[in-house]
Amino acid sequence: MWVRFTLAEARGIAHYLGVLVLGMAAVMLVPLVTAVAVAEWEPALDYFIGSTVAAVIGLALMLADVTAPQISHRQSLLISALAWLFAALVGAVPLALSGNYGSYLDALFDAMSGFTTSGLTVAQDLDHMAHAHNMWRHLTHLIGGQGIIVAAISLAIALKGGAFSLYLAEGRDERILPNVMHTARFIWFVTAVWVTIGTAALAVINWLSGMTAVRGLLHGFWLTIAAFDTGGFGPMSQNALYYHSPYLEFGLLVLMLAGTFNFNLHADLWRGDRLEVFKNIEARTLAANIAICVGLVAVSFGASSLMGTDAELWRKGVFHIVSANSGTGHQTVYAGQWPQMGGGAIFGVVLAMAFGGMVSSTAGGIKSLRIGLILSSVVLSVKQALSPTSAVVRLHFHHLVDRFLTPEITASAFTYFTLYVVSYISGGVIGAAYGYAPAEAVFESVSAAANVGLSVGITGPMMPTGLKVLYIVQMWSGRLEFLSLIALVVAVFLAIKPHRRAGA
Amino acid sequence: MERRYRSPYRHWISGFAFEVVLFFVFLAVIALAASVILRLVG
Amino acid sequence: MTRLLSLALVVCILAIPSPARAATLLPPVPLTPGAMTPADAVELGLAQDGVEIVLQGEAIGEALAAPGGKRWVNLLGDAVAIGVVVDAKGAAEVTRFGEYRQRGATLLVRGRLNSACDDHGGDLDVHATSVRIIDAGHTSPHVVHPNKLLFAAAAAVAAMGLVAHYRRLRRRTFL
Repeated sequence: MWVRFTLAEARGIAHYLGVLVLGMAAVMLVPLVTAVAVAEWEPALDYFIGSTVAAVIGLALMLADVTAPQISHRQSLLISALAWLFAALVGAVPLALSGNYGSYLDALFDAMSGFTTSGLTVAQDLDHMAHAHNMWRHLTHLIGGQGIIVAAISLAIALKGGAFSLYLAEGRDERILPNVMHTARFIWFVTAVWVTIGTAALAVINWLSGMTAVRGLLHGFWLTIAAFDTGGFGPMSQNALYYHSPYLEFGLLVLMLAGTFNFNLHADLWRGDRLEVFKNIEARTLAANIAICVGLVAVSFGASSLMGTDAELWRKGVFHIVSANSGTGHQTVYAGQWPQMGGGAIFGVVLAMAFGGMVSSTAGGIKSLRIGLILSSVVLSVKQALSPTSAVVRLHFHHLVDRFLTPEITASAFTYFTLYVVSYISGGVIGAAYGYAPAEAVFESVSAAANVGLSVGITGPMMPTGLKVLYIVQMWSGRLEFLSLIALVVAVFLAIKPHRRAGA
Repeated sequence: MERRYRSPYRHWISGFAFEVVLFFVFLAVIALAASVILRLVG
Repeated sequence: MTRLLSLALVVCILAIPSPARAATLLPPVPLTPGAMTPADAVELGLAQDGVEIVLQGEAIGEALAAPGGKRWVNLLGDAVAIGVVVDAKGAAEVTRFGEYRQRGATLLVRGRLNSACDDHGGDLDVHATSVRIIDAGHTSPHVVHPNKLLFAAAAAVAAMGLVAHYRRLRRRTFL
């Protein structure tokens, strides 16, 4: 039985979307100030326009219900789904005005890629892009990575009881600290620490490499948030390859691992509970996954004639596996180089992308927790098969606390696994229908749906429009883990279907 | 199993340092193991 | 009414065609006969290793430190950039590097193209044996489009109007 949304509910949804969009208008002041500081006048105007347009749209939406009502769980699900779309729609405006994008759709692609911390890009002439525009592109990773919803909670705009509902709809299902405001603040604290120290470290590396004070600092900041928020944008067209620096790549590796860590784990470690990370099923699964995929790459490199040194193994092999598994997408090879690394390496990268990082982090993919649970349930099935029929067999695992593997938990893990695999494959099928090689199409589809951002060359300004739209939808749905997006589609469908109104 | 509430802000520096060391060690182990495999295969 | 106005405003802004990139307003540096662009070089590098090539492209960003006292200069051409290892003296002669404000110097480089350079961690790069600057680079003309100023003004007015309207409505609702 599907329950329809009422007009009053729709107004509530519109109001809070308006609040979020207004928040975007405020954040756009950062690139505006950046532009003025470095005397980039046309970009400054682009952000003035972007900010005022976002303010206009935000206020118009807020007018739908000026009472700022309490919202239900259902409403927060839809707000969560639509937040990304609306953020991307307004976030694309200054980018579309920049001259670095072929069309508004291209700008929308990058905006969605930024907010969902994917990192696929269709920007043109990135090497001549203004600092202000790069600032905005990378800020979308920071905002999206911290969760637009968490950002809204933290900015303390128009709360009341709806805040907790919004937080749950976001997909972060653990209560890290006793209440929602504290959890949001802690997430920002961890981010602030890692981003500050990361920026300082990368800036120093950049300065030692020969970059000027301003460029070194800006690139350090941008690469740090791209890595910690596991986004993967870079300010230059060669992405991380531009710097040709093993020190920078190492810094990025550490940041990527930090970024893919569950915020609960950060909390536990920072509280002094050092053992948790070793007992935790997620951490163990992720570590094992990275190890296995790196192993595949090592075998592949061993067989290849081009990649044979340790340095190549670490800088091209380990780097890309961690980049893929964490969902970052920083890349130090040209798109056409993937085949050079050998089939085993490509397989390892795709597997790493598909399986993904930890829950309650900025990573994407199926998530290591679910992979771990699925493997555990296989073990459990084998145990049950081998035990006498009257025996009760149970499996316990540790995720923050000791738990038993229940059918509900297993079912949930399998449901999400299926949703992701369906997305990966259908994206691949559609890409192949456009004429790309099937393996490449699957690679790009997994990269989009798991919000990774590594590219095999399909993504670009000349990509067919249909694929641009496809990847936008895949990035969006992957970030939402599908359910709230499906709920949105159902709600819209129900709204359009004609029916007799059975009273308010 | 209930967990006593402890503030993660109080000793964040040691927690952060532990994480950094953890990642260094993890990466080192992975890199060395991979090198071993590379030598065995190549 | 306000909603209609804002919608109209958004539609107008979306209708602005992307302004021509400044780089295309500068006359392009012609490709020296016999030289290839970085795009060609990368494509060649994917197919063959160790080829001697002549490469021409725009120096972007800055000269970065490379092992052995050398420098990395990334050259851009045909929407692809490639890393070139040059000696410090050659790098020092480049005065302009491409960025928002300027088109960088155009370099003509002769060197060896490596598919996965063992010296440089597997990077696809070029080890330059000779470097020549054939164009010193130029500042990029960036002009503020008058259309944008108009829209900025219109958007600002609309925003202020909406803020006032919203506050009025809230006061009326909660009075």
